[in-house]
Amino acid sequence: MRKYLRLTGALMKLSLMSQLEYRINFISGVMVEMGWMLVKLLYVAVVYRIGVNIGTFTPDHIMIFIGIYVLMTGFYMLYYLNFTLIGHMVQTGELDMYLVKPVSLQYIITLRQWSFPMFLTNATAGSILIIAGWHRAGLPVSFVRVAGFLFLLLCSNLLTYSLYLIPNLLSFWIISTGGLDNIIAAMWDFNNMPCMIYGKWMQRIGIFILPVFVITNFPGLFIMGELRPFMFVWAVGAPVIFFIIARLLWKRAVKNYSSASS
Amino acid sequence: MNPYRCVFHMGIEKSLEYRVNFLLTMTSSIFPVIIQTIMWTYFYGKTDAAASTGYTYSQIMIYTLLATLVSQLVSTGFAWQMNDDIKRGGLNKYLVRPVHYGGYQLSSFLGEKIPQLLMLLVVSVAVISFSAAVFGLTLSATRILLFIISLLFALALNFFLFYTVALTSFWLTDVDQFFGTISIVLVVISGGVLPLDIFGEKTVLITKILPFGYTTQFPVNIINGRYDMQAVGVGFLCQLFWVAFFGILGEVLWKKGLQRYVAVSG
Amino acid sequence: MAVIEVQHLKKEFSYYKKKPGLAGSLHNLFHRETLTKEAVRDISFSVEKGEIIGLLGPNGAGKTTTLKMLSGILYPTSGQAVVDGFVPWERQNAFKRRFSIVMGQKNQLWWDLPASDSFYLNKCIFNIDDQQYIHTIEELSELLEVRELMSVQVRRLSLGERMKMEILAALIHRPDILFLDEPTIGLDIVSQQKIRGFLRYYNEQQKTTIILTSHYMRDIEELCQRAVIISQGQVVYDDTLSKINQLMGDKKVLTLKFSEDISAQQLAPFGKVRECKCREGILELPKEGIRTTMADILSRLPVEDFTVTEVPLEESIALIFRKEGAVS
Repeated sequence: MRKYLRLTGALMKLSLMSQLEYRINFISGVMVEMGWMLVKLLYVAVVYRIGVNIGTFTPDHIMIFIGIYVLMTGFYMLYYLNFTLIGHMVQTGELDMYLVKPVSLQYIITLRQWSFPMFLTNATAGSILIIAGWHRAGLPVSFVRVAGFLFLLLCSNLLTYSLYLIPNLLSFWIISTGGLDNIIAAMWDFNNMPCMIYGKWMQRIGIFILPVFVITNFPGLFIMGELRPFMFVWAVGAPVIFFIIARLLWKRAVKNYSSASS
Repeated sequence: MNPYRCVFHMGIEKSLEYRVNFLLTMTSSIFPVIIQTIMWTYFYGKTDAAASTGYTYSQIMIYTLLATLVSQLVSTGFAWQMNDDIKRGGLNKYLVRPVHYGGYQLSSFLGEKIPQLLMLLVVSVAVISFSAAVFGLTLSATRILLFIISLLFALALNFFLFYTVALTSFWLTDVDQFFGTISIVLVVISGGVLPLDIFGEKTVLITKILPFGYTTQFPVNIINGRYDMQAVGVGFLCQLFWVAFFGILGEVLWKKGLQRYVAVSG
Repeated sequence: MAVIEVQHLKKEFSYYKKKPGLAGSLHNLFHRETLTKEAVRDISFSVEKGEIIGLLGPNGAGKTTTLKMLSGILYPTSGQAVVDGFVPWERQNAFKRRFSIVMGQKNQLWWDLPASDSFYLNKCIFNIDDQQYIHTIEELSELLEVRELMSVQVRRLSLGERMKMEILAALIHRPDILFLDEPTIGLDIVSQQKIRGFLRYYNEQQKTTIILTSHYMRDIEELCQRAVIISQGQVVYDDTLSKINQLMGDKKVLTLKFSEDISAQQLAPFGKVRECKCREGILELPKEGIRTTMADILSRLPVEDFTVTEVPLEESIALIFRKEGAVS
């Protein structure tokens, strides 16, 4: 465990140094992300403009949901580049150089490069939205709420990682996964609004089958004291289940790689 | 043949070559449209949103369906090419020939856009007749004609806007890195994501004064029936003013930039 | 004691045939013709501790596939291998700490950073303590003459310098066994020599067992006492290098320089003429009786200078391949 912590630290440091080699790219990464941020913030503005309530949630509450969506986007941006590179590593055989290292292959392949510019923008903006919403909505700031929220964010990260790794693993078998990637990536944006605005069936699918809604909605519901115990169990269970699926699929993929290529 | 017409034809060919690409980008923008339609339907169902936005339900839906299409149509991609020409000396091959660089780019841009415009009109017809049936949009031939004219002006305006932006490559290094940001920001402040005049009197005034809304928001709202004939007339005058403004600004910047280019690379 | 034992290793893989064009692609969508290819058919050999052996063979003979199986990257279809007491494809971490593989065509260094940063990453991956790490880096960078390059971004290094860094990165955890797949590919002569010199010295000092594949015969000649030659997935020769020449029948190559132009006809009576142009000639002679033939030539022709050499290894090996090809 300590080895992996130190390794993660080293990888983050190396990634950051690599990105700083191209300062302009780093800055423009931040800038482009700020442009996209403007699009997301537009939705916040609309909610306040109309003064709409979603169920019992006021615009302040909705801002928390959007804030979590922005923050989680930032976390995903930290490592998503690795996912997109899996296909490339399989095709060029670059994977071989990592197969011989005494370290978990899934770890080193999926969490090797960390991209900071996009993370920084999203994490900052997301945190501000969450804190502002929390404050304005007059929600209590207790140890349980904060700790529970942070814990659920952790679960959400595990869920994002697992859920988005799965389609990318297909690149072990097929060369281009472009179309599928796009659709799954687009699903992410459904979280730009709290899931309560979608129809019953869409909610059910988004919570239980392709649990993208769990990622941003559940931590928010917890802050507001609206997460029912059953849903709390699912907020913890879904990441575990999907991580196991991703893990099994990963092992199959690597086994296939070792048997089928030359 | 006239060189500009030739380039115009080349642009058409290029666009037809990449038509799959254009269709793909259009399909990828379906998801935000779905999200927005659901969102607006919810908002309009729960509250008297029309009072705060000033848009009726059918207007906002039509806006959502059409704005993405229009902002795709007016989008440009030549700024990177221009930056490359300026930074790496690709400009020389235009300077030694009897053509005007801006005219060349404009012809190529318009050529590229014509097939897209036709495709867009086909989709628009579907969207508009769908809206007419579902949301009770009332249409008139004049309004459709005005919509098409405003689209042409919008194309010209967006061209000169980006042409001016791209000309800053003469003075700024690494400006190409920021074109991406500028594109996104311009889509937002043109009303390509949401109509900006829902945010009250002040933003209505600002969008009327600033040039950006005339590339997307203005054409869509003509079809929407949000403007009376007088407002459309004023809008056209503003569009023309901004086309002329950026056209002249572009020409001035081009002349100044060229002096600098010749001085530096000579 | 053998550190590496390979018995009847076999590797098959399947692939699809695709007819050219879109029609072919569509056809493939519904019906795929699966073909099986044997990359490695039947390979057995063993390597003693501290040995350097050369794995030779033409392209596609199965050298790289064999090395990949020995490093656990690929599973064999059948057969056994034990490397340093481990079955490679079980991929135990303990095993991964004992060996290293360098592939000339692939790199493990971070492109935009100085190599030393990648070394540090390997330090973390292999859990090496600071003292040993610093010591190893200092010693190896000295030997490889890359001390001053430690803080230069990898993308700015020349190909030869980069390869030295790759080798250094592979040796940070002091492996007992080193697999080198074409380590000198594409390098200039000087860099090749430097790397060879280093590998020889390192092997003598550390008693590291090395398996080397290379296109350059000089690599093999200078480094290996023994060669395993693979052709079409099978071992066709496994013995010392010197024996290859004996196998070829004892012949020598005589290179002559003359003070005036000589024709091939004039040379023909003495042996097999390999080359003859103006004042230079190359003859192939049987080892036996070479002295008398030499004396004969010297007395009859205007010889200015001469050298006697073994038949080049390339030729001997090419001959082995040809023989093998004829058999199968």
